[in-house]
This record gives sequence, structure tokens and C-alpha cells, in this order.
Amino acid sequence: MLKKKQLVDFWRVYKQRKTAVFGLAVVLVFCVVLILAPQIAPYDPHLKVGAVYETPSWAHLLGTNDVGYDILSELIFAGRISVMIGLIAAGAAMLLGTVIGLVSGFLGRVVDEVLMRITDMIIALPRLPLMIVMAAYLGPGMWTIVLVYSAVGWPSIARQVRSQVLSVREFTFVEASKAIGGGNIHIMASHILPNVMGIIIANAVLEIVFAILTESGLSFLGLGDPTHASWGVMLHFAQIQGAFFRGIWWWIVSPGLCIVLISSAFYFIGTALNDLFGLKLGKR
Amino acid sequence: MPGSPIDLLAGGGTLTVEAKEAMIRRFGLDAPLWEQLWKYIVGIFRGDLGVSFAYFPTPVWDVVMEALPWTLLILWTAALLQVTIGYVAGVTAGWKAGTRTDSILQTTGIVLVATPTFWLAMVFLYVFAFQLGWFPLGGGSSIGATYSSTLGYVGDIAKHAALPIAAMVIGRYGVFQLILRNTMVTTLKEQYILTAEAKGLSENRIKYRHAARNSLLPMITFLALSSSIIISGSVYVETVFSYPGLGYLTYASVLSRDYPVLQGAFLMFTAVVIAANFVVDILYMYLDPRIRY
Amino acid sequence: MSLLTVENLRTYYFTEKGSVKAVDGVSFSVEKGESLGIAGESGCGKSTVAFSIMRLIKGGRIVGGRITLDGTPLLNMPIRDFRRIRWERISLVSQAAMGALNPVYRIGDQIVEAITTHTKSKKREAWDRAEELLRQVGVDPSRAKNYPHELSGGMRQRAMIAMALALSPELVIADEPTTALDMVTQAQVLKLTRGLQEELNVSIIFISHDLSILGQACDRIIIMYAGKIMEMGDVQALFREPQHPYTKALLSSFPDIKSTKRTLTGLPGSPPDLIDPPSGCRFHPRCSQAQSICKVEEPTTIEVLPKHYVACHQVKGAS
Repeated sequence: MLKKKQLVDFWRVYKQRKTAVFGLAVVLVFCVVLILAPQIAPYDPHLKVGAVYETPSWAHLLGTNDVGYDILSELIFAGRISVMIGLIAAGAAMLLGTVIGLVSGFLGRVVDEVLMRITDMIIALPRLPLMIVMAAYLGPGMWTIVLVYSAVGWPSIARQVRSQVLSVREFTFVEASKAIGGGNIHIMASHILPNVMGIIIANAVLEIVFAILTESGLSFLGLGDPTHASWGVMLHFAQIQGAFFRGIWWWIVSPGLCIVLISSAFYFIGTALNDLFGLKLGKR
Repeated sequence: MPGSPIDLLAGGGTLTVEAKEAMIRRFGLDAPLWEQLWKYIVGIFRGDLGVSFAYFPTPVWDVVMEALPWTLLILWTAALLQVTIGYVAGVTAGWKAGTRTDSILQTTGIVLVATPTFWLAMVFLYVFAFQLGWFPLGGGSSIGATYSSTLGYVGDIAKHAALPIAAMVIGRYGVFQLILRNTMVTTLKEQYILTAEAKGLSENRIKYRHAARNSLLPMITFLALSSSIIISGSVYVETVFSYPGLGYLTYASVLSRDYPVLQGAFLMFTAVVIAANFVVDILYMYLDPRIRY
Repeated sequence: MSLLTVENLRTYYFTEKGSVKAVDGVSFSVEKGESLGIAGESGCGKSTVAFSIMRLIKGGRIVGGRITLDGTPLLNMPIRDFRRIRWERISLVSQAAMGALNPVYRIGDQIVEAITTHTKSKKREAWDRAEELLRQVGVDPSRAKNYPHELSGGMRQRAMIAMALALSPELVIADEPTTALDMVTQAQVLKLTRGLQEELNVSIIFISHDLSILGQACDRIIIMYAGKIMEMGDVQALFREPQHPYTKALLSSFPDIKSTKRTLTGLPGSPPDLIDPPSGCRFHPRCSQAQSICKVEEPTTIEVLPKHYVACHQVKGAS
């Protein structure tokens, strides 16, 4: 399906956007660092390796937190959690939303009506408060976050996918396929999906951004898993321990900057993809 | 439910079994779940949202109502500012699409949107309130203060609301900018822009009265969805600044397992969103003559 | 002196793949009160010529040539001054499909905007004038209060014409004004245009790919192909005795209700790539009369009959 020449062409145009390249570079760097966390982090993040609230020094580049853990090590390992949850939550929401959008757009009529009503109802509710309420009932934790994010996030994805499906559906080659006698699933998979795939991928990347931001937000509010600290959880503890009032600003700035960096990186990539794929679709 | 509210109400101490059962009956927690839900829904229509666990026996309605005005204040002010700044930035970026101005505006907007609002709030709190002391450290108004005049009161409220609003605005205006910029780029390709230019109109006139005006329409549609985004911002910001609005109430009630209040706050947020959508619909009808009748 | 002269105009568009030489050395003039048609296939550069005159080229630039209006050079004029020329002396009528009128403002307001931008009129006066203009083009003045989507295609086109005449310009450029209309409305609009032109003594540049329309609406006609002028002359003469092979091919692809039945011959091939146009005469790849010289050397424009110009090696000049 993907030819080498297409990839080369694609890269040529992609390269032109400096922010997109920067984003890709940042993501790659993060990937390397996070995968190699055990090798790169100076200490075990769950071990008391110093006094509490030590200021940054050569031994502890970012100092220690309220229980004596090395913040830098915590930061690196937290990155794994943040990014992982972000990817999984985004993936779950995209999967759910895409399937529902495809089905709704393609099957139409009653199925479409019902699904769209449900979608409208969920979209009408305020996102964060809804997630908070659900998480409160489910109890804090990583899976809770994944669950509430996908439960609240799938409708807008479904809507987008559905509208893409509706516009592609009208293309004549789909009519032709039907005339030849292609079954529904066959049409969905081999004609519709490839065309909407581009937009789906672009949106998936943007979804990762929101997932990471949401996870950090929910964790900050205390709904994350304290034993598996993500950046958001780190910030939660920093806030509770009054880090600012103790003047320990690096505890707060470092996780925050990491979030900003990786989110911007993904965002740049996502917008670039959006422009590129949007163009391709427009050319038809 | 995790952390049974009964235990919390009992203040963590031990209750006799009879006392616990009495409390369970008192709160109707012994009834089957669907019956509880039905009673709750009926209660909503009568304005009865139950009784707060944490502020027992204050009715949830009162608790929520006291928080509502605070949230509305920062919500609407922030929304207005976000839309205005996003509008100007988006129109400028779209008009100059492809140039350095566009890149700078876009990059700034994206990086700010990628910034967690609560973190931005924390940074603001640290820099402007803690270090520089220009603004108070939190709350909605100064505790126990007496005011010599209404102006004094208003000024105090404003000083407390300033940082929360600033955090919300700077953290989220980018969303509007990004949408508007893309819409502008599409609009600028329309024929009537060429006509406008052929008519010898000035650049500003074409930019705002023709291009931006038409780009507004898709953005207004987006506004409806965006009330959700703006509310999220207020929840985070209120938490960080201990600002006594619905957002802070939400956070506090999660901590104290005050489920009735949590639900009450959620319902109130939903009401705000519905009201906002309604306003947006009317605004859209006013702005787009094509769908008037 | 001619009202408008265009000398050796060259306008290129700049794309990733290279520069598109959309108009590559076009020269002609328009006299006061005359109606000049520009004909050709899509992409031949006729609209580009129009937009070049109004300096509205997007994604490209006028790279060479001179344009003068009543002797005044237009291309180097600062844009601030040129804005006064726009609409006051030269105006534009486009295809009035939904696109050319702003959908969120009333027709009257859009006409008023043109008037108040250029003159010191008050809104009240301008509105009255707008209503008067609508009446002149055969639209009920009360429709000024309507939005574009509330008018039919024909009425929108007339409204555009009314707007174009608001400041009594000397030249009106009509870019495919009848293309989106049905035959009956087309005829009405054409009649209106002719009538107005004669009444107001306005010069018109009429751009269309439809030769039959141009035959009715114009005094003189230019045939363009691939950014260059192939033939130019009095419309009746040109239609009766076309000189250029391309003109002949174009005319033979239009049915004529009055003539005897014949097979329509189209033109084989497709318009050339203007980033890398054919050498010599740009028409040679599709020309039935092409010779070796046509592939190598660009033909110069010669006056083969009085006021009838052709650019073709195969046409012998008047002796």
C-alpha cells in the first residue's frame, strides 16, 4: 500500500516545515531517553537517596523531593508513564471513535441516528468535570484515566471520521465498486478506509497531545496513580507539599517543561500532517 | 464507592453498627441503586440536589450556588479575552499566511496550548504573587477585610481574579487563533475577496469586514464546543489559586469524597454549557443571514 | 489615443514546480466605447490578462510589459494611488456564482461600499444611487435589501453589473459573466450589457471561452492560446474569414444553427504545459498545418488584412 516513492515525496514536503522537523526530533529524543530510562537515570526513582528537599547539586541535578527521591530520576521514569498513558488513552479513544464513526457513516439510517444522538449527548457535557466525576467513582489510577479519557473522547473523533466517510462515500469509485458487487465490509476496508486514513493519522497525533495534557491534569488533581508517578503526579505532590512556598521551583518547572516540550512536539507533527493530508484529499 | 461517605462523616472514628445503619437509612443509601438515581433526578427538577456530606447539613444547592458567581466571573471574562485575542491573532496570522509573522504567531499559539493550564497557573502564582507580590496568593477576596466603598470591594475581587483569568487566557487563547487562522486561509481564497480588492477597498477593510467576518462563522460553531475547554481551564485554575468557584468545589469534593456536591457541581457546569450553547446558537443566527428563517 | 494599451505583457505564476508563463508577450489596445472580446480555451491566459490589468495577480507577478490607461502608466503606480483607479476607472464583473458577492452583506450595502469608499457620498445618497443602478440593470430596487443567496443567478449577475457601473468607470472587464447562467438568462444579460455599453459609452473587455457569445457581444476579438495572441481583429471579419489554424479549429467546434449540418471537429490533444511551453509557435503540436519552421521559430504578428492581425508562419501577409 505504501510505496517508497510516496514516502520520499512525503518526506520532501514534510521537511519544509521547520517546526514539524523539530517536533519529530524532540519526539525521537524523548523516545530514546524514555526507553533507556533505567540506563540513563542516575538513581532508582523509588529509593531514598538523599535528604529531603535538597537543592540541585552535582549529585542531584534537580534536587530531591519530599521523601528524598532524586527528582531527575523521577522525572525520567515519570516520562515513561505520562507518554505511555497518553498513547494508550489516545489509542483507545481513536479506536473507539474511528470504529463508531466508520460504522455510523457507512451504514447510515437508523444506526447512524442512534449513534449520533449518543455522540451529541456526550459532547454536550463538560469534558473535564465529567471525567472527574467518573474518575471519582472509579477510584484513582492509571486505568481509570485511560477509561474516562476514552469514554469522553470518542464522540468528537467519531463525528470527524463519520463526516470524512460521508464525503468519501459519494465518490464514484465507490459506486462502481458497489455495481461490481463488493460487499459492505469490503468497501469499508479497501475503499473508504485508505482515504480517511490520512486524516485519521493526523488527528491521532493531535489526540496524543490532548491525552498527555489530560492525564497530567487529572493526575494533578489527585486522580492518578501515586505509586507510578507520571509528570502530573509529580506536580500533584509538588503542589500539595507547597513546593513554591518552600522555594523549590525546579520541582515544578521540570515536569511542566517536559509536558510542554513533548506536547508541542506532537502538536507540530500533527498540524503538519493535517496540512499535508488535507492537501492530498483536496487535490482529488 | 471508594471511601464510603459514612466513614468520612463519622469523622474517621468508629461508629456502632446501629449508628452506621441509621445514617445509611437517613441518606437513603439503603435503597436500591436505581431508586436512588430516580430520586436524584426528580430532585434536580425541584432544585433539590441533596445534602452535602462535607458541609453537612448544608444543602448541595446552597453550596453550589455560592460558588457559581465566582466561576461565572472568571469564566466569562476569560472567554471574552480568549476569543478576542485569538481572533486578532488568528486573523493576522491568516492574512499573512506563509510569512514569518504567521510562523511566529502559530508557534507561540501552539506552544501555549501545549502548556498545561494548571502548570501555567502555578508559574503565575509563583512569579507574580509569591515572588513579586503584585497579586494576592489565592482566594476570591481578602479574608475578613472591610471595604470602604463598593469600588474597594470590586477592586479586591478584581485583584484576586486577575491571575486566574490571565492563566486561563494565555493558556488557551491559542485554540481560537489556530481555528481562525485556518478558516481565514480558506476564506481568502473565495471570489468575493477578489471582488473586494478589485473595488479598491483598503487592506484593513478587506481583512476585517470581508475575510474575518466570514471566517467568524465556523469559529462561532467551534465556540459551542469550546465552552467545555474553557471550563476545564477554570477547574484547574481555581484549584491552583484556591479560588472559591465551582472548579475548586469539584476538586475539594473529590478529596473529601463529598459525592453529592461533586455531582451538584457537575450538573451546574452542564447547565452553564447548555446555556452557553444556546447563546452561541442565537449569535450564529444573527451573524449568518443564510440561515435566518 | 486608445483608452487602454497593453504592451508586451508578461505575467508568470510561481509554483513549486516552476514558473507558469501564463501570459507571455501580449499586446493589444482598447478604444473608447468599444467592446473587445478575449477568447480561448481554459488556461490560455485570458483571465490572467484581465487580472493583470487590475493588478490582482495572486501567487504570481507581472514580470514585464507596460499598461497605460489614457496615457497614464499603470504598472508602476504605487498601490495606494492605484486603488483610486480600481472601480473608479476600471471595474470588474466576475462570474456571479455564489462566490463573487459576499454572502453576509446585503446587495445594497455592497454597492454602497464601493460608492462610499471612492466618493464623499453619504450613506443615504449612496443607497439611493444603488437602487437607481439596480433599476437600470432591470432589477427591482427593493431587492437591494436582499442578501446574495436570496437572488437568482441572473439577478446576481445583473447586481454585479450594477455594482461595476456604480462609479461610472471608463472600462469594465467582464470575466466569463455568462458562463454560469442558463441560455435564456444568458441572452438577457448579453442584451443588457450591449444596451448599457451603448448608452453609457463604456469600453468593455469581454472574456469568454464561448465564441458564439463573443460574436454577439463584441466589436473586436482576440484569440489567445497558451499565453499568446494568435489572431486579433474585427469580430465579423474574423468569424467569416478566420486566418489562424487555431481560430479555424475553434470555430469549427461550435455548432451554427443556421448553417448546413456538418460534423463538429474538435481539436486533438490538450493545452500545453506552460511551465515548459512548446518551442517556436506554441500551437504547433496540435496544428494540422504545422511545418518545420513552426517548431523552431515563434511567429511574429503581422497585419494580413486591414486591422486584422495574425501570428502564424503559414498565413501569407497582404502583399
